[in-house]
Amino acid sequence: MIREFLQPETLQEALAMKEQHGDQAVYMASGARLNAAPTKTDKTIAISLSRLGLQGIVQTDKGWELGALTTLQQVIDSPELPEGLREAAALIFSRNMRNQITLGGEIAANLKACQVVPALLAMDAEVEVAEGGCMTVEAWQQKPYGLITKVIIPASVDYCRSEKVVKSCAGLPIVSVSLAVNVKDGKQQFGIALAGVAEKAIRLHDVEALLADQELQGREAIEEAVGKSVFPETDFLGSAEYKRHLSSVLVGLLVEEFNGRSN
Amino acid sequence: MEIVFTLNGKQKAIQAEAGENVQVLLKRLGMRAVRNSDDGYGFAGSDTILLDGCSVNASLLIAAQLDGREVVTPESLNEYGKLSPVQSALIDAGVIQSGYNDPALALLITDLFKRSPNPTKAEITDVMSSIFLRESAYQQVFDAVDIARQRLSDPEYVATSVPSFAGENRQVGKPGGKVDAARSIKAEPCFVEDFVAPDACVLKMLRSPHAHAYITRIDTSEAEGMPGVVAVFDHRNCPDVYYTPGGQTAPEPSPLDRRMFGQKVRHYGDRVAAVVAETEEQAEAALKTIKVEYEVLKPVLSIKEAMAEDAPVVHNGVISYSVGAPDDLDEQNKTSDLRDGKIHFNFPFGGDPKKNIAARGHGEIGDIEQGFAEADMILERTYQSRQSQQLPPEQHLCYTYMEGDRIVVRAATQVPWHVRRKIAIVLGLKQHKVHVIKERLGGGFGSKQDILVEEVCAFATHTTGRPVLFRHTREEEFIATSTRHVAEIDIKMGAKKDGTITAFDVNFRFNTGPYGNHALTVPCNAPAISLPLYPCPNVRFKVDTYYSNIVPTGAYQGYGGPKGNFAVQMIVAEMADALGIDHLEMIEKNRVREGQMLDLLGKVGEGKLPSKVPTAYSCALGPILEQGAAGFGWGTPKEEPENPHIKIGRGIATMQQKSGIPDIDQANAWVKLASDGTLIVHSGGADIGTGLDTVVAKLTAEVLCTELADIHVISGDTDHCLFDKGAYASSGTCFSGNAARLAAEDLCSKVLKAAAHLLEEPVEELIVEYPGVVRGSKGSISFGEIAHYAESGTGCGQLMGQGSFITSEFAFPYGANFAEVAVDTRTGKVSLRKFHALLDCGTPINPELALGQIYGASMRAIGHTLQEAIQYDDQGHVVNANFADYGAPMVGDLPEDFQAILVPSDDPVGPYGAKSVSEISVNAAAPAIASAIHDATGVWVRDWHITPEKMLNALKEEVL
Repeated sequence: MIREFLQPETLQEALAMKEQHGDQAVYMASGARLNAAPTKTDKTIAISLSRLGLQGIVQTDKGWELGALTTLQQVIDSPELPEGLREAAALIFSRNMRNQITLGGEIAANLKACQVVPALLAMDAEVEVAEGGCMTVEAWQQKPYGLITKVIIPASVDYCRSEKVVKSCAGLPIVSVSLAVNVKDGKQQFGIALAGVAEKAIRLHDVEALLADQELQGREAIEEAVGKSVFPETDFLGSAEYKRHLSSVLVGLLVEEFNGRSN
Repeated sequence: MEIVFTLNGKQKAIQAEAGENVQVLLKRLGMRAVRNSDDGYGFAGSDTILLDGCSVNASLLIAAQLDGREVVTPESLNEYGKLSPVQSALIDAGVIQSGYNDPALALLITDLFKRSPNPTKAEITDVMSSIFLRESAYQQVFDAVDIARQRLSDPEYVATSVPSFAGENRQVGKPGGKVDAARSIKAEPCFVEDFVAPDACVLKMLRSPHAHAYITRIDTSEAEGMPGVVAVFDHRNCPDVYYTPGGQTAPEPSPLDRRMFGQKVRHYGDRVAAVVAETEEQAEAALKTIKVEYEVLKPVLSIKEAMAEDAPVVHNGVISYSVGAPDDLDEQNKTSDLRDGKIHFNFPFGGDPKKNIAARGHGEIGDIEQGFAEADMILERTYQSRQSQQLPPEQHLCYTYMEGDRIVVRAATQVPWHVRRKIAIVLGLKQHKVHVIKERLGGGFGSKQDILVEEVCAFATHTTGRPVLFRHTREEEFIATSTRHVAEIDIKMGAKKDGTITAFDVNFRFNTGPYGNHALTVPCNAPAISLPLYPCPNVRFKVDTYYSNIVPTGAYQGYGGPKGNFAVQMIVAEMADALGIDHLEMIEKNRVREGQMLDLLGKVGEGKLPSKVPTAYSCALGPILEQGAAGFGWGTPKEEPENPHIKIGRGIATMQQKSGIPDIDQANAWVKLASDGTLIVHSGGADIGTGLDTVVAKLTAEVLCTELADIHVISGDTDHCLFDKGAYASSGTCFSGNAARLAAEDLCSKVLKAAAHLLEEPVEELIVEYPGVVRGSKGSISFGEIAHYAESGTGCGQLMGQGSFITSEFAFPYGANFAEVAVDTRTGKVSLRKFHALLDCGTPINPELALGQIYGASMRAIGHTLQEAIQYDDQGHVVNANFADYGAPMVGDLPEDFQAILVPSDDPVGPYGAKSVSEISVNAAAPAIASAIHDATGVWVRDWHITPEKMLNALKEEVL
């Protein structure tokens, strides 16, 4: 249970507090995950980020820069943002939850069935951390470091769509897939990410490379490649075989849909 | 720490632990509407508040986060003596049943109007994404928002969207008047949780981590010495009394196989020990110190495993009978293990615990062999279904305290009199020392027909003298309450080429889990609620119910109906397909008709057989099928989807239920005339949110020609009302309603007699007229004047009518579901495009509530069909014991086109032609959807729930 709730006014204060309290303390954005029963924190000190001014959405040369405490509902309610990002934010079914869950918090929570992270991975989104520097969401996810202050959606994102299959609309996705296309130097770069097939959301770099090199012709080839790249486990949501099948089908559908749009 | 925040417009400074859960904190501050349904999973939205103008779940916040913030709760909508436009609209549209989550819904909709004065359907759906509405199930909220929108600009706006029935009646069949709706939408004290004293102790339960095990050692000594701990109970210090949790009329047709705590645990989550402490934290801390050693046994997890020759015996205790013991009882008991305790049968109903059989039944009419000989085609199929949970938004809970030497039990129960009886038996008390007060229920659906928390809570209070609250967590709801039975059904059917059904032969196998509550009656309702839809001269059925180590089962709305009806409707559909006959034509050719004797039902009972062969006195199935087919577009071309992997299909299924249990159950009521001529009804009936108190009030008003507002109903209180069997078996309207009608008629005759004296006219020449007046040829006199005379020093005494209702006759409601699905053949996902539910409940006494019952039950059935099931690992542990993982339906699971339609009939058994409405609508969704899936894909899915993976596998098997 949280016994102490610290409310720093500056990033420096926040970092100092974390330095002081170490593993006993946790940064708290909105608490949507840290206070929720299935993911409740066992830390005793919360360092609140609410007074650090980590809200706001601006467009820069880099792309869209969203404060880490931007909620998913704020993303949805910002029509100027890329449609694929807004669609991914809407994958969380409950509006109450979308009003509380923050982008930064969701990346930091790094949950198996996180529904917005695959889109961020696929888009090559980056995070900025208070300790200095930027890194991709994927890099952060593999080696969490620092206090996320900002999420950056690259200006190169040209396309992003997400699909999921669920047993019930508010249940965890059996598999969730995002496909993004970045255009850099006139070249299309595919980003494919999935949730539900590993402990964390994953990106399929090998399949992306095959797509970029146009080595996968037709939906069946794409599905086969995806099937060889994911190694899900059986759980109450579905068998490993079914999840692999869904991964293949959903990626195939999204690529087919993108190609249809391009043509 | 000190926290300063704004609560409903007023600044508040409080002291709280930084990490205190905000839902708990707001409850502590008197915000009753901020409720807990999901223990902080962020699913149900019962705890919705606005934080700085945005809706969030209070349970996902800690107290420190409120500092400097603005909090708005549903209480902000309340104005004394008035309803807000949104609150009144929710009532008028029929959304309010128990009202447990509805204050939160009202807050969400009010907030929506601030953002969008003319909300679209998508915006309304988005708002409802935050809230779990298990009872009325979302659909009527769209109407409510429209009513509220109009009422916001015109406060006098009167809703006209709800249909009206029963011609000249003033109250019966007319919309409006739910007597408890204003209280519940305003979150006034009405649920058990609203009455718990601040100093009440808390009972927490240590539960078994094993599905099947003996407790070989238990050490509670450390727990007993923990701070705040008042008592610790386990199998060593609880009453040595065996009972059934099933809240049924005595002698119960269920094995008495439950002890408060046993040395053997029979399911994951079974009771091991209880700690009573002064706070929840103290109780939980003490639970962790209890040391238990187990001898783990092989669990029995399926019917097949239970039937095996070498199956572990779930109940290997000493067997006894009140009457009718078998000759070999001593032989049977030779192999008993004392650690298994005892198992008692009030009378024989086929139980054979050594073979894991809890109950058996059978019946036959006609000549089954001849029936199959006459058939041109015979089909044999096996159908299966899974275990689903009722999911009442309010968890099971009970609050008990002593008043002198009497124990008061504030219970969220469907069966207050059965609770009183069982508590008296378990505690060794006489019944007049037990006072059960049924508060409003936040949903029951059958799960609160069983005594699952009350007896242990009462024991804790009676032993310690302390007030005690025992409330299940949501996880305990999944692992330790009564769920829907698992069933496997072998069915054989014969039919002629023209579709005439010649014979049914059905073998029903049910899995009752660890205890046998309803082990006979749920399975026997499977044939009783399905086969009479197709009266056929040659029918044979057999029912076997098996013990196992899955989590407990029991009563769930529909009882055995959904299971049995799936098999019967599906094989009729398969036969129609095999014979090349339109499914609807096949149904029409063979269906039950008004006035028909239902011979088979003379062979199926609930502990005893009916005293006469039942008759379908009223049946509107004909108009239902005709109207339903036309409205649904049954014969019209289906849409051609753009994507070739999407397949569209249509299906239909019919359904029936009963309206109480004739020759077994009874209901009673008083109606008394107050001094000014108003009326107070004391109804034994247990309104569980379905509107029974309103039924009682309307019937009384109709008989006595008074305003509804002049009637007050007291119900479900064992001290202040007369006996009633309780709310189950769809008995409320027919039994409790008829008791109220009879009481009103009795009072009416007494009023006329007194009026005759005062008007000096013969009784025969007097009539009762609206509004509460007796008129004769010489003049008239008001009820108030009559009451004044009756209570005067020269009067006849206060006038009161009494009604007691029993019957040997049945009142069967009928209905049909039409479904259109889209099946994604790549993913297996089944989407429900259209779902039309038509229902003949006789005269719908409360039309908007009847529609809400249909929507709610249909949605539950849709959930069971496509997404809901309790799942286990191979050791019998439940692996999805929360709303989201279980697959609880939310607004996004609603059919795209969802309609509930009332098609009335006039029944002679029910009051004013009314029949039951609540349960029946869970009975036909599964076969209607499965038939539609076949129409779409050519695949018969015979095992539900039909998950995307199961659907995809079925498609693959078809290809192979």
